[in-house]
This record gives sequence, structure tokens and C-alpha cells, in this order.
Amino acid sequence: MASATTTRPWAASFRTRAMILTGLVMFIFVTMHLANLALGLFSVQLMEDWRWLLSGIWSNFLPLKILLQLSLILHFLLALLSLYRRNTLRIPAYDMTQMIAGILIIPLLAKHVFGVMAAKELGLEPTYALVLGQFWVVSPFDGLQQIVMLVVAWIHGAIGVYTWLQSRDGSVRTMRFFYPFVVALPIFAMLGYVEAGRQIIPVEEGGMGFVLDSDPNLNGPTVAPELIPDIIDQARDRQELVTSVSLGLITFAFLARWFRLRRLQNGQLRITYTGKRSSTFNTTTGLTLLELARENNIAHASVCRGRGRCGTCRVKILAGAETLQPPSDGEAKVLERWQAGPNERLACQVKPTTGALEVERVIEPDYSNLDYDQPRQVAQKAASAT
Amino acid sequence: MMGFLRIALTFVVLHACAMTAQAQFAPSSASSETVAVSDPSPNDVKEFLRLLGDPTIQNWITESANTDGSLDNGSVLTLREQIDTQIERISARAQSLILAWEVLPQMPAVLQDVWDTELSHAQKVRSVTYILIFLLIGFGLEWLYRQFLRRPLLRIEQAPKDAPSQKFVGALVRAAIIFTGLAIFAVGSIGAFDSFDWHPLLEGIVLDLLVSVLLFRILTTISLFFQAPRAPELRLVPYGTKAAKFLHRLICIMAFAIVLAFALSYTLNRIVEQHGMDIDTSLATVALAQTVTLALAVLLVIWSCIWVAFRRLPVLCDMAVAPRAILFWRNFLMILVGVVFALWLSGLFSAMWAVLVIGMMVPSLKLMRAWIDHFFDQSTAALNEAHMGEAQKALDDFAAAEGEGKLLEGEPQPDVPEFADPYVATRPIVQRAARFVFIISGVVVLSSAWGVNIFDLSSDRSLVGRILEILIDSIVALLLADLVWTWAKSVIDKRIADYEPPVDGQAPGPEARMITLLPLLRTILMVTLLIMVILSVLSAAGVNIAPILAGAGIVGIAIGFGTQSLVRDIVAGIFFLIDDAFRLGEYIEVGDLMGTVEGISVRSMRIRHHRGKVHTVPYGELKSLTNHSRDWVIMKLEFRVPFDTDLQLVKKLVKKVGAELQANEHYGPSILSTLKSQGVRRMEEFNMVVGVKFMTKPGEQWLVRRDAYQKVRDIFEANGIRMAERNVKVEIEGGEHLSEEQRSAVAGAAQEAAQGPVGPPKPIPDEP
Repeated sequence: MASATTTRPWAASFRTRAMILTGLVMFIFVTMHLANLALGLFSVQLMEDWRWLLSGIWSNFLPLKILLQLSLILHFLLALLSLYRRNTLRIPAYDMTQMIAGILIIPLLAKHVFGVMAAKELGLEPTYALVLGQFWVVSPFDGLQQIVMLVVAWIHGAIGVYTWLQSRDGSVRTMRFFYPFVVALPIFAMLGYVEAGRQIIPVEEGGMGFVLDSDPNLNGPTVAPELIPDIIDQARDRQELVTSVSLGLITFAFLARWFRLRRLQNGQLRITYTGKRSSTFNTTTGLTLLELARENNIAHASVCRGRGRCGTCRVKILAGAETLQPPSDGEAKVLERWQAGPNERLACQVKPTTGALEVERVIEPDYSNLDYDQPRQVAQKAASAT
Repeated sequence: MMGFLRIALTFVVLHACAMTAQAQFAPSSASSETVAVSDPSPNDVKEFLRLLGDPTIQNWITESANTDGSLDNGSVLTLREQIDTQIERISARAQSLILAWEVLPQMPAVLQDVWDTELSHAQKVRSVTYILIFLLIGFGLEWLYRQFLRRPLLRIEQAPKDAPSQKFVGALVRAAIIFTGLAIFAVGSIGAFDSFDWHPLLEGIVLDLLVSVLLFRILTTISLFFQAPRAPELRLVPYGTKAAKFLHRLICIMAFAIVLAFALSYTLNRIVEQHGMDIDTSLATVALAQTVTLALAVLLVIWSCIWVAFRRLPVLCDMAVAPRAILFWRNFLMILVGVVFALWLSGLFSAMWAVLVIGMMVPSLKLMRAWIDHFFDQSTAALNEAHMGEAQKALDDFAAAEGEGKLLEGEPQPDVPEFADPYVATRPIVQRAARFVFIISGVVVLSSAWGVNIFDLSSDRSLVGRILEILIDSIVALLLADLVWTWAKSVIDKRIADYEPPVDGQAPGPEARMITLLPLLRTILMVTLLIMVILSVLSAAGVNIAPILAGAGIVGIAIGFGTQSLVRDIVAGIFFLIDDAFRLGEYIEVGDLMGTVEGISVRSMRIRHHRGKVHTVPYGELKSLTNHSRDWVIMKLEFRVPFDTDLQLVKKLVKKVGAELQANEHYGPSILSTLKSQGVRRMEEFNMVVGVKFMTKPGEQWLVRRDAYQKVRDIFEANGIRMAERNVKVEIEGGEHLSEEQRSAVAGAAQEAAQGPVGPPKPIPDEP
């Protein structure tokens, strides 16, 4: 990932925080939404009964609605920025999956969102009976898209939260609950979706089956019939607009990134890793030390995969420290948390410049014995001592 | 020898192919079935039943059956007829291929039609949803499992490992973890699959899909096991990360292509079977069309993979291989794949398998050999490095000495130590065993491709069966004998090579006797193995070996009687050697002969007496044997001192001498228990006998005894202790008047009388 800019340290810290916060907001939203879907395992009625809380609250309660929309936009823009700042696209599998899933989300999501909004404009309440009927019977292909979207969005969010949780204190205990949760919820949601579909399909096809206790849509659309096609067209236009704008922005970010990288002057660089498995390689500048190591097949411990949060990729700079920029605030904070020595740096934040560099990994690639709670315990001890 | 065998095998195989092809030929409709070993689909069973009901087929079966009802094995056909049938078969195949080619353009429309008509919208959505759910359940469960095993897996993958055994175990454990993950994935996805109700067409397709996903992952896991592109610590193959990543990717691509082709071929056949075709062609043709297209695609993928691999690998591996060799192997592999495809296309499946197995045999054996060598090289890498250091040091020392001109005349060569490979015995055995397993499995694959059951060959009386049986029996016997012989030879040779002859004056170690025995054992083993192999080959070839055995027995008995004592000597010798009764250089006593063992032969031993006489003693003559050179020797000495000696002082002095002896730089270390006084051993007429004793290593006692005597005498004298002398006190009653001369005369006479007659001296044990 990109190194923090030293010119505006607050910007880097803001970016990270905002990314996590907005992501979390949307993750909570998706979690609640999927929980609502999972209720379909019991009955559509139950889904409908809980809809006001699990889904409706995000669209009917204004602060939450604004928060969600803001989060979505901000997260998307920040993601574009981080896409622009990426030094290389040869990234770990998790990051790659997250990136591709992230790119797919908006085009897949737009139809659902604007469909529900159009239903509201038509004066229809987007009950589960209505939406599921739409997805299962009227346009099954859209339903399919929604299922794919569910998986894609969940994977994107889960990877984000997983990465965030892992580089936090006490992650071991949190993870014990997070792992099963992250697998079970989408499966239950999909099963609920299928089960609800089974209850809905016979009704929609004119047969006997499930009927809501009190269907607000019994009377059909409340708007004038001649307006209906316009509204639907409008929704489709909006959806297409949003899709093309988002894809255009993403393309633009990639292009901008390409230009940025092309403008960079790549100097020659020689890096030596000493230690148990020492190796030396010649390369060009432009990447962070961690990315260079990955590119040259050097194993490196890195829990947060280069986000500068976990501190497991620390290296001791043995030679060439004078060519490096001083650590940013964020990096300094992480280093301080681990009580790192004066010549230690985070490999994911160090961007070596032309010359020679000799480093040694502080934490072995086999970090299975690493106690991630150690810095916290040290801090507690220090606190109790004072 | 093996090369010849291989050529012979190829030759026989090719002939056998032509002869057995008729029996082996599978109907073209089952083209995909012959490749994959699985149960026939209902369609195939239907087809088979239809064929059975076909009057032409019935007619053919009746015609080709013998009078006793058994099927004609074709050996009565003349060569011309056989060739005719082959050509007919190939042309029939060509016709169906042409037909298949014509059918091909219709396929997309048919598939579209099936997709549109067979499934309702809801069903499509639901089925894709279901597939997503299964995959999600499967992957989710596997991911969970992997998360809980994250740390152990990390340790296995990243912890530094030097010994190849560690690497191998690590790779095994990792493969086990991954395969367990795959099993969880399979259970999760297929279990979920089972819990839904299915449209029958979809059920087949989805199951095909899931199985192909599994198969693909299994194939890639096998590649991971060997190449470990992301975990260099676990890599079992001798190349770097870049090459491993590259090759792994290629293997993934090939595995994907093959698995996809199989899955598609099954799926498409299922769909077509469901739907049927517009034009009047049999399902078999359509199936063939699809299968051929897919196989062509796979062929192209494999060709391009080989091409790319041979282009890139030399660069990635930094290999110094002649470009000609690379070109040769690339062309060889591409032609091999092409030939296999062509044979498959023309329906000669057994020939295809033969070409495939035999063609792959040579490069695979080469690769395996290199791989095993690499494995051993790696395990001795640390030792080798240490050795190189030592050798370099020796060379440097030599150069330095040469520069200073300090070199002795007789030592013109530097003293470079030889590298002692600890696996010198294991390596050839592993090579042979791997080759053995490889060849045998190749033979098994071949024979199963020809439909010959190698475990039931004796019931097959055809010529091919007979030849094959003899061949396989002989190969197995040869390979087994080769294995045993290589093992025994390398072990024996290593022991002999490791033996260091004792330095002059030192007792030889226990290895000395084995050096006598081992060459004998080696010869016996070689002869035994040779006879066994010859006999088993003969018996496999149908020669009755009972008379040979009986004849050998009679001759053996005759020779045995004639050479009874020789045999007795040899056998007794073997047991003496096994008992470790004596070794080279030991001082032994046999009956009334004694001396140092100078030579041990199969029949007798040579003893040299310390005065130079050489005795030759056949082992058969040995009843009992006394060995003077084992472990320790106690030597007892006696001193005669007068009655008035201070025994405490004697004890102290002896102790002092003991300490002196122990401190001696030459024999001190050989003294196991130094000189100490045992007090008065007995009283004699005129003196006391003081006993002392010491214990040394065998052979050292004489020197110690000499010094002990000397030192004790000296120290006694220095401390005023006289050794008792035989003296006679003559009291002459009333002899005061005798003159001095007379007194001495009387004393002399009395002394003579007291001494009595002097007998011959007792023999004293000799000192060598």
C-alpha cells in the first residue's frame, strides 16, 4: 500500500481512520440486512416483521440514512484514492480479492438500490413479498445478480474487517467469534433467500401459498398508472448512470495511477536481507520495502499485509538508513507500541531510494509464536508501575 | 542391461498391441469412458444393451466364439487379416470423426435450446444460487478450518528447515492439512448439495462441477506438495522460487484444461442425451464430436505449455544445459503428446497407452534419478561444505608450507581428506527401489491398458500372455535381485572402505575380523542371487527346474563328503570369527602354540611366535583358544624381604612407586590399576614374601613390570630395606677356637648342605 505522505501526516491518518469507520458502518448495515434475509429460513412473515428494524431503520431513520450514504460515498472515494496510490498490483490474494470484489459491488448494487427506491416512488412499500417476488419470478436474472452481489459484498467487507481485527490487541479472542460468524451469516442469508423464494413463488405464479398478514401493497401502486413507466425508466437511467460513473471513476483512478507511475524516475537499488536466510537482490525504486521483498520472493511476516498497522513487518536497518525518510506519525506510533529500537522501521512504510540498503527482519517469517498481545501487556505493566 | 530390457519391452509391447488390439478395441461410443475409469453412465448401459440386441453384433459374437464357448483370442488370424481389421477399424473411426465434424456446428444451438426449454427461470436462479451456496459453504468451512490451523501451517511453511527429511515431513504434513481442507470442502459442498431436491439434469451437471472443482484442487495440491511456490522451506524440487511459481502455474493451467475438458465432455453429453439431435445421427457421434473438440483444445494447451516451459525454464533455473538437449526433449515431448493424441483419435487405445507409458518412462526415470540425487545432495550439503572447508585448509597449509620451503622430500602431495558421504550406501538403494517401483507400476498400467491381468496370466495360454508372463516374472526377479545385490554390495563395500588397518603396535579393533568375512559373504551372496535369478527366470520360462535342483543337490552332497574337513574348517572359522575369539595382531595361545595372530584366511590362521616361528592352524583343529590380548592383564610380582622389615614402610614405598609408574608418559595411560602392595603373601623359612600387583592393558605389562622391579629395588635400597638373601646361620658349638678361615669353610659347607640338590629351573613365561 502507499506510504504515508510526510507533507500531510493528518491526511494519512484521516484516510486510514475514515476508511475503517465507513467500512464498519457499511459492514454493520450488511450484517443486519443479511440477518433479515436469514429470517426467511423461518418464514417470510418473520422477515417482514423484523424488516423495520434490520433493514428499514437505515432508510427510514434519517441520521442513519445519511450516515450510510455518506459512508458509501466516502468509502468509495477513499478506495479510489488508495487505488491511485497503489505502487503495484502484485498484491496478496486477500487484497486482490478485496479489490476485485470492491470494484464489482456498485454495478451489482445499483439495480437493487434503485429498484427499491423506484418501488417507493410508485407508492409501494418494499416488502419482502414484493421484492422477493420481483427477484424470483418477474426478473430472475436480477435475483441472480443480487445473490452474487451478496457474496461479493460480504467477501469485500469481511476481508476488511478481518484485516482490521487482526492487527488489533486481543485479536485472538475476537477472532474466535469472528470466524464462524463470517462464514455462517451469508450462508444462512442465502438459505433464507431460497426458502423465502419457495414460499413466494407459488403465490406469484397464481397458486396457493404464503400471503402476508397485512400487505401494504394490496391496492397496488398509488401513483397514476401513466407515470409508472416513467418512474421505472428513470430508475433504470439512474442505475445506469451510477454504474457507468463508478466504473468510469475506477478506470480513471487506474489511468491516473498508471500516469503517476510512468512519471516516476526509477533508480537502481540494491537490498540485502541478512539473517537466517539471507539474500541480496538488485531492483528499482518506487515500491515499499515490503512490496520489493514480496516481488523478490523473500518471506516476510506481515499480519496487516502492508497497511502499517500491525508492526510485524519491522526491519532493522543495518546500513543505508540515512537515505530513508524519517517515519511518519502513524509508523512512529506503531513502532513505539512495539518498543522498537531506534534503527527499526516498518518495511511496509519504508520506501527505499537509490543506493544500497541492508536490513534484517525483526520478526521471523514464521511468526507463529508471536504474542500479539505483548505490546499491550508491556504497556499495562508500565502503567501499573507508574 | 536395463536399456536392453526397455527396448525389448517396447518391441514386445508394439507387437502385442497389434495382436491384442482386436480383443481390446472399445466401441467408439465409449471414447470418453475408456480414458476415465468410472462406472458406465445409464446411457452407456443402454447403448450396450442396444448393441447386444443388435443382430449383427450377435452374429459377430457367435462367429468369433470357439466351439467350447470361449472367445477367440485372434491368434489364429493371419497377419494379413489382422491388418485388414485394423485398417477397417481406423477407417470406421475416421468416418465417425467426419460425421462428428459435421455435427459440431449444431452444438451451440442445441445447448441454448436445452438451457431454455429444460429449466424455468426460477429453476435457473435457484440452481445458480444453490451452486453459489454450496461453493460458499464448502469454501467457508475450509476457510474456517484453515484459520484455526493458521499458526501451525505458518510454522510448517516458514520455519527454517535444512535437512531434507524435515522438508519432506513438513511437506507431508502440509499436504495432509490441505487435503483435510479439501475433504472438508467436499463434505461441506456435496453434503449441502445432497440436502436439496434437484432437477435430474441439473443434479448431474452440478455434481460434475463439484467433482471437477475437487479434482482440480487435488491436482494443484500435488503440484504444491512438490514445488511449494510460496514456501521455499518446503520445496522438494531442486529449483528456485521463480521457476517453481512458473511451473506451478503451468501445471495449474494444464490441470484446469484437462479437468474442464472432462467436466464439459460429461456435461455436454448429458445435455445432448437429454435433448437428442435434429439430424439423424447417433448420440455416440455427437458425444465423439464434443470429446474430440475438447481433446483438441487440451492438446493445444499441453503443447503450448510444453513450448513455453522449455523456453522459459532454462532462464529461470540458470541451467547450463546444451540448447540441443533442450530442443531434443521439447520435441520429444511434443511429438509424444501428438502421437498419443493421434492414436487416441484413431481409436487405438491400447497402443496409445503403450506409447504414453513407454515414452514417459525414460524422461521420468531420468527426472526421478536427478530428484533423488538432489535429495541426498541436500542432506549432505552441510557436511559437504565442512569438508570443502577442510580440504581448502589442507591445500592452503600445503601451499604455505611449500612457500616456506619446509616441505619434506617424501611428501609431495597435499593431504586432502576425502569426502565421507554418510549416504553412500543408502543412495543407490533408494535409486534402485524407486526405479523398481516405477517400472513395475508402468508395467501394471500397461497391462491393465491391454486388458491383461498380470496376476492371472497363468490362465492365459496365448503366446502374448506367455511372453508377457515370462517377461514380467524375469523383470521382477532381476529387479529384486538387483535391489538386494546393490544394497548388500554398497553396505559391504562401505564397511571395507571404512576399515582402517591398525597402526603398528596397536591392537586392531573388532572391524578386523569383519574385513575377513565380508568379501566371503559378498561372493556367497552374489553366487546365490545369480543362481536364484537364473532359476526363477528358467522356471518362469517353463523349464522344469526340479532336475537341476536335484542334480545340484547330489553334486553338493558329493562335494560335501569329499571336502568334509575343508568345510569344517571354513564353518568353524566363520563361527570363531563371529565369536570374536581372536583378531589380527592379538597374542593368543592355542594348545601348546602361542604367538601373535598374523593372518586370518577363510580356512586357517597364521600365528607368529615371538621368536619368529610361524604356525598355521586350521580352524577345524581349534578346540579352545586363549587370548592374552583382551581388555586387561593383571601381573603379580613378589619380593622377598627379611623378617625385620617395616611392612608399613614397604606399603608406603610401593604406593609411591605406583604413583611414579602411573605418571610415566609412555605407558602411564595404559595402566588401569597401578602398582599396590598386597602385604605379606606368605612366610618362608628365611624371609617374608611381599606381593604386589598391577593391572594394565594387554601387551603393556612387560614394560611396566620391568620398571616396577627396578624402581622397587631402588627405592628399597634407598630406604634401607634389603632384599632377603638366602643366608645360612651356622652355629658352631664350641667353635670359638676356630680361625676365621676355618669359620668360612664351615659356613660354605653348611650352605651347600642347606641348598640341597638344585633341580632344573622351571620355565618362566616368556615375554614377547
